[in-house]
Amino acid sequence: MNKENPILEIRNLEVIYQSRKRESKAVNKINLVLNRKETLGLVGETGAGKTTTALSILRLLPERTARILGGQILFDNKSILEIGEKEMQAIRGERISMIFQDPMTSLNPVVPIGEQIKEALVLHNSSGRSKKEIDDRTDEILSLVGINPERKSQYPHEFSGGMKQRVVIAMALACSPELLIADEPTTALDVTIQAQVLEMMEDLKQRFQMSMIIITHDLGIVAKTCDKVAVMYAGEIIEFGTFENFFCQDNRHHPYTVGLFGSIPKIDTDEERLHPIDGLMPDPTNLPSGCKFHPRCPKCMEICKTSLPNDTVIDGHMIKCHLFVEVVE
Amino acid sequence: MKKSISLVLTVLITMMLISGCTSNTETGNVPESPAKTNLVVMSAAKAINYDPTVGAQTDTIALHSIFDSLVKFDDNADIIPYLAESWELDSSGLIYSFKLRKDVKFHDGTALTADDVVYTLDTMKANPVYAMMAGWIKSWNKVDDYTITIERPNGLTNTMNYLAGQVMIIPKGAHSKDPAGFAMNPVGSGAYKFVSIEPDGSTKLESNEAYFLGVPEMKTITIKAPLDPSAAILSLQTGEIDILTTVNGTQLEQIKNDSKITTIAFNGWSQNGLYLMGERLNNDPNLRQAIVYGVNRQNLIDLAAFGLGTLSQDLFAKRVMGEFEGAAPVPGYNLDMAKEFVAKANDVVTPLVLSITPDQAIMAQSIQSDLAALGLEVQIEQLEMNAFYEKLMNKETEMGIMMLGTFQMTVDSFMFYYASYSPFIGNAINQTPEYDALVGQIMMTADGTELRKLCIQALEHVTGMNIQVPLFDTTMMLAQNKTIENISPQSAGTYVFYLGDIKAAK
Amino acid sequence: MYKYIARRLLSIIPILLLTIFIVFVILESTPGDPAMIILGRDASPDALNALREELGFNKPMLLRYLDYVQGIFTRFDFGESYRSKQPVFDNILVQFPTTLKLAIFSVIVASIVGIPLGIVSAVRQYSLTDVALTVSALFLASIPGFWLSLLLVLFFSLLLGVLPSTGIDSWKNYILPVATLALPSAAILMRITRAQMMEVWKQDYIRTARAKGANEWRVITKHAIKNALMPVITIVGMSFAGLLGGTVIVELIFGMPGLGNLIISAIKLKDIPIVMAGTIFLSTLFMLIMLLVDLLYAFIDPRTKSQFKR
Repeated sequence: MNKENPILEIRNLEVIYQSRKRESKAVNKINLVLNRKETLGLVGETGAGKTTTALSILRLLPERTARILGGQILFDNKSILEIGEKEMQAIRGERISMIFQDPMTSLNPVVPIGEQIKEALVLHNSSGRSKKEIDDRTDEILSLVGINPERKSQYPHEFSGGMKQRVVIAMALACSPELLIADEPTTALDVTIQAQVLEMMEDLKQRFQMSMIIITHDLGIVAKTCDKVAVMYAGEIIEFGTFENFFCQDNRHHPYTVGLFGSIPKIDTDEERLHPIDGLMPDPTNLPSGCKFHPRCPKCMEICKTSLPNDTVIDGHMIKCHLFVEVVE
Repeated sequence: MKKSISLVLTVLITMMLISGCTSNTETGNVPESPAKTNLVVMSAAKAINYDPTVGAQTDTIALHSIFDSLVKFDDNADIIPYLAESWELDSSGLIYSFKLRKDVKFHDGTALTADDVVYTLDTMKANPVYAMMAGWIKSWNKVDDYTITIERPNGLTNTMNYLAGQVMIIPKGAHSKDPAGFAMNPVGSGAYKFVSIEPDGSTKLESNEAYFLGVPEMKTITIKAPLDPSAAILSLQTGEIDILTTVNGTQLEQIKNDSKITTIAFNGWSQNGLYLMGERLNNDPNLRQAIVYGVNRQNLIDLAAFGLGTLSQDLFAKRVMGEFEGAAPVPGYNLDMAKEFVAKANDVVTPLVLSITPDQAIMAQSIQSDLAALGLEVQIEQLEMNAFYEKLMNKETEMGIMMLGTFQMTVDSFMFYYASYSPFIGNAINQTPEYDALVGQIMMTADGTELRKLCIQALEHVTGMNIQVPLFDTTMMLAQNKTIENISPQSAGTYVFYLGDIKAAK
Repeated sequence: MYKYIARRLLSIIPILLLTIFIVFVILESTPGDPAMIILGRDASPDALNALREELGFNKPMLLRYLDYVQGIFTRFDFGESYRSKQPVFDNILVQFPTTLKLAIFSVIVASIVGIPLGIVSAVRQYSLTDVALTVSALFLASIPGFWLSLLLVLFFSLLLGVLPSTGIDSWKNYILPVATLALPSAAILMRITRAQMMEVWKQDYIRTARAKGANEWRVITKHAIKNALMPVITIVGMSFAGLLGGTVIVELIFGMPGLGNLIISAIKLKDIPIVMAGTIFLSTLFMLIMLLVDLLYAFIDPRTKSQFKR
């Protein structure tokens, strides 16, 4: 593990959405640590709070409806939640970049893609790059993502889905950010293209020595790219560990994680039916008491219904479940 | 900043709403002209050309300013000398002999003589538009350079009024050189000279320094093309217009409290009448009589006509009737008599249809409620002017209100309208061949005494047919700025304005 | 591209012919006889017939229609006014500039007022500003032109005495008429711009721009506006085209000698040549403007532009 200070630390982050007197608890006091050059996979079903967490890091939550109730986010030891908007704008796109799920709608349809990439450079030109330097850099980053720089005057509608996502990635990486947050970067793409894009992202990560957070519900992607994994459920991180913790040795997992793995169809076994996890993600305006997973948990105990489990940590592997408290003891 | 913008907007809108609600408007700071020398008049027609012999429906105010007539109207609409300094009527009562002034010059410096008068009348006659001129002027003759005779068709014809209002003398020299071009380059003898025509149909005039009646006080005149009535009255109030040549009741309401404006009223030659036609009414004389007795005229004048009218018992306005006033009186309002006749009528159930144009709406309602009191239902049908007249001419109208009468009409010419071949009223009523013959005789008779007897017969006949209810003699109005004075009151009734007489108010 | 333009220009002709035919039929069926209107109701039947013969009214309608159309397309001859006997087209050309000025100024004022307010309203959605603006817009868009113009005259000409109420003598004469036309137009533009901005505001690429570190101003001007305004520009173009024919009431109230005024008087007096020529003029102009607007749209929207390149 790196002995340098972590690039990102989230402590007790709490975020709610408020609409017409109803409060929706999206993120419930989560904690996360990401070290430099590490890739963290943030896994969970839709609605778990993954995107909200990501948006919170960049302070891009919708102003009127979302509120950060409490907690701290430290980026390179700087408290993100306390700095001014102008300072935040300087960070966005330059030190932390984010790419979003749907490449079809993420690009401005009336601006040539070259311009859109250039914009990232122009906005963060504290080093005073000349126009030529900016142009060169744009060409460079386009080549890196596998797009012919001569196409930079073309418009987004002239590119396929996969190519568009590459453009989005190019935009995000133009200023060589230290942290890249990718929210479901390949979900909207064909399976075949997915592989290409992922490979490219890995490549770039190596080249730029970036830290990455990949948000996904696809464990396959997690397996291919991530050093660390965090599993989110109902706004909480219920399990956190290394790649090895999840995919190699350890058999101890949160019942939800087990369910997640179990629901992956295996190509080499004959399964006639899928094994989804019973039940649905709870309503964030009306969360269950105690452990949020207890209504769906096959291993539910009495205590689960009433008290929130603590974080049990075994050799860096965190599981938030009453089942494992005894073991540690 | 945006909040204060919306605040200002709201305040502005509210202020405007409030000012719109008050009917009593105080005029603001309308600048007073030091010595007024420019006059702005609003005409009833757009100017198209300035040749009075072409007969186009153009701005006659401009024409009367640029040209003069043989005679003019005094303040009471009686005839006084103008280009003709004196005249005589011969023993037959048909031939006038006019003596022209010798000191009149046209704007191009040439002298006005009898040749010009002859030329004017010849030119008019050659124009099919003036085919009706024969109804007032039968023939004319130059006696010498300053004397001319004009013969009228019969002893009653109001040739003098016709000459005053319709015959404007053009110069033979200037006109014959270029008849077509004269229309835009008029040369007259009048108080004002033509300067220009504006694209919107307004006319600009300047004073004629050599005018034989003296230099006009108003040096320049703008005659504006007609505006929408609401806009027109506002222009008068802001001072942009000095004279509104006709005003209706609604406009009067708006200015009655305005201290800067004064109005002039004149009882003229027109009368509003209710005409009864159509098959059902033609076959039901009792119903017709009921209606004649049943309309409350005074009520109608007070309520519907803003009080701008006088009661009449004749078929035509007082000035038109002249000596025939009261010769064949129409019965007045009498509810009991009306009910008697309703009882004898054939069909009182089917609604009667009263066709009107929009400006007659309130009058129609007054009539409707009067007849309702008799148990007769009246449906009001509102039509656009062209549509109304087309319906009338196609004999499809049952009841209609019409305002008829001009300063040149006389009883004899009016009786023609009731003959069965007249598309105007006659062909829609049950007319007798005797009446048609009577009208034929009237048309042929020249002698005044004979004609009088025939006219009285005709009047009695038509009155007896009960096809017309005289509603009221119209009181014509005009409105003016108090910055000027000396508008001849008859102008309100004849629409003949002598702008050269207008002076700035002291 | 040029094929498209040529096609559009050619398609104007059949539409024009149809329009002429329709107006012909309408004028034919409305009451009123031009001869009687010119000569007066008590004119003699002979005089009336002579005039009708001169005007060509005794021929059947279809024949007159064909004569007329032929006159236009072969000699560019629109005939003479029944009343003034002057060539009609000159008449129109003299009065058209007034209407054009009214339309242009109104569109400009409406855009300058409406579009920015719409943007502000959308960006500050549901705030007090937004509510105030939306309510005012509703109010202004519902006011009848007749009432608004009289109200403005009452206030500015009568009460304050600072602006003239009739005529076209100076630029001051245009202020109230343009206000009457522009205010409701501005309200509509404001609402459309607001709706468009709100749509765009929700889009993903706005979020992308923010994620790049752009500040609000840049997001609005460089990203939102360009996308939001494209349909708005079409509407502005259509407004302009519509205004060319829609200035009638304002011209009547303020006594301005424009095309609308000319055509209305001509209709009342059944001066058919003027009505026809005026209608043809306006229709052609309208179609040309719509073509320009479509081309403009292609010019500024890259997606449509590529369609044309094929």
